[in-house]
Amino acid sequence: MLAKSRQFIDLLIGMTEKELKARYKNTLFGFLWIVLNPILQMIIIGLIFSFFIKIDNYFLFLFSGLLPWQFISLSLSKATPSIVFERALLQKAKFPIETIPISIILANFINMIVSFVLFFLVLLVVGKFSIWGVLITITVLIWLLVFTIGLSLLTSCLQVKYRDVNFFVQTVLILWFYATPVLYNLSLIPKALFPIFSLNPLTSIFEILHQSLLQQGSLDIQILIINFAISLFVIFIGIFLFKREYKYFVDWL
Amino acid sequence: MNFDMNHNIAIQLRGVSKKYILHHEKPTLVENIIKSKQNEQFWALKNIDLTVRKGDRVGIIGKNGSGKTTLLEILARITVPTRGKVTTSGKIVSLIELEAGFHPELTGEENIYLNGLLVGMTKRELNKKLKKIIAFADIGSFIDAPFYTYSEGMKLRLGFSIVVHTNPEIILLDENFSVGDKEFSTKSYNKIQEFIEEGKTIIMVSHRMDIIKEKCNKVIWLDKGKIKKIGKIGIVGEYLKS
Repeated sequence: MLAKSRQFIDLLIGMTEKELKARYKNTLFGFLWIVLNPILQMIIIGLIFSFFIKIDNYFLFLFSGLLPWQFISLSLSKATPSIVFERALLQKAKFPIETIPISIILANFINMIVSFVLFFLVLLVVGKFSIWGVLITITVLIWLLVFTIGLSLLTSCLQVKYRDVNFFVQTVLILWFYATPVLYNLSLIPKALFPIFSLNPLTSIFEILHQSLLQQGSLDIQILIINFAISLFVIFIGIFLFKREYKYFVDWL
Repeated sequence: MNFDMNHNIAIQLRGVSKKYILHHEKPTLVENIIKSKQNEQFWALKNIDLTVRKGDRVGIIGKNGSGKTTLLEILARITVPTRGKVTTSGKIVSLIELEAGFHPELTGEENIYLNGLLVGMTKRELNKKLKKIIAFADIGSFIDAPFYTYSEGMKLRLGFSIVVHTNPEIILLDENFSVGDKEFSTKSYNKIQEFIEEGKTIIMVSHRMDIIKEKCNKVIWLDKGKIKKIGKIGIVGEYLKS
């Protein structure tokens, strides 16, 4: 049993390392690209939307949401087709298949953490840094991580059986971006729409991040509770379905 | 593991059947929600009983579509039977898809770790065996070069070298095993011979009856998912006449 979990951890670390190494080999600036992407997005979106949306420190505000958004969107779009993509691997040996999507997510998570460290340096310069902010940010990022893993287990598992799931995920991601408080915050939203936001677990995650990083989120306790419950539900369904179906993956590939 | 299992037995199959659902096209989620259509079923294996003793060299023969590959996949634990029970004793390794599990951008050494972990080794085990694996693969200074620069032969050799260093007790061989250049097939067959001499259990699927005759002491003749005959090497002759 102990040897088995040792092997699992070694494999997960090895696969995550592969994801990171493979991504940054042969790229001139390596890691820079992963920070550059949200910075460029921040500048472009900021320039346009600052005309319509009045939020203090709008550029920093955008950045605090674009980093976790980039994480979940990259993770989902890469993890969903990952098992189908690695079909030869599944036919080669019996190994814990969940390490395929999870390693992709962990690699993205490490990227995001490094970006956040740089962001904290910026906050230090502008005088918005607080140690409590860091602790709350870490807690919420772990929530985001586990939720993303649960959701990716679900989508990657469904993708093995139904090959249109990936298209569905791509479309949902575009809509989801606008339905999540990245460009705006909840205080700009009429209360009548709150029931819709309570269905999206990312609402609380992003609003808590706005609060912990820039002290400008607006949190609604009712939304938070429903968001958390839905996250747990998604994580549970993801793990449950994956555990039930993984034995038959090879038959579908 | 079963307690009533004889310690001389490597593999035991009881009433193993495998059903596949035939999809003429991959189903889509939308289709599945809109209409529930009846899928065709296909039994690749039907009620297989089989006992393999430690040190046995079993050849699986039969026409295309007789269930050979499915049986091998079940033994490798890559797929699970629909019905029946599989009991195995000892580390199993399959020499199929040797080139899978490598990343083209990583170096040979980085790939040894990745691939070794996938076939069930731990990092510590790999640290110990790294030199041996490199030596056996015989890829020279390419070990630090990215995998995409490797020739087909080198890829196979590295994949083979990693798998055989997992210290397996049961070895599964696919019929496509004899691919690769001449040098590689000589080397791999020598290694298989070594495994035989060490008394390891070997299961092979092959269309090449000369190899089956040379290496095996037991033959299973599969026909339409059932065992038609099982026994000594003489079955090969009957199969060839049929």
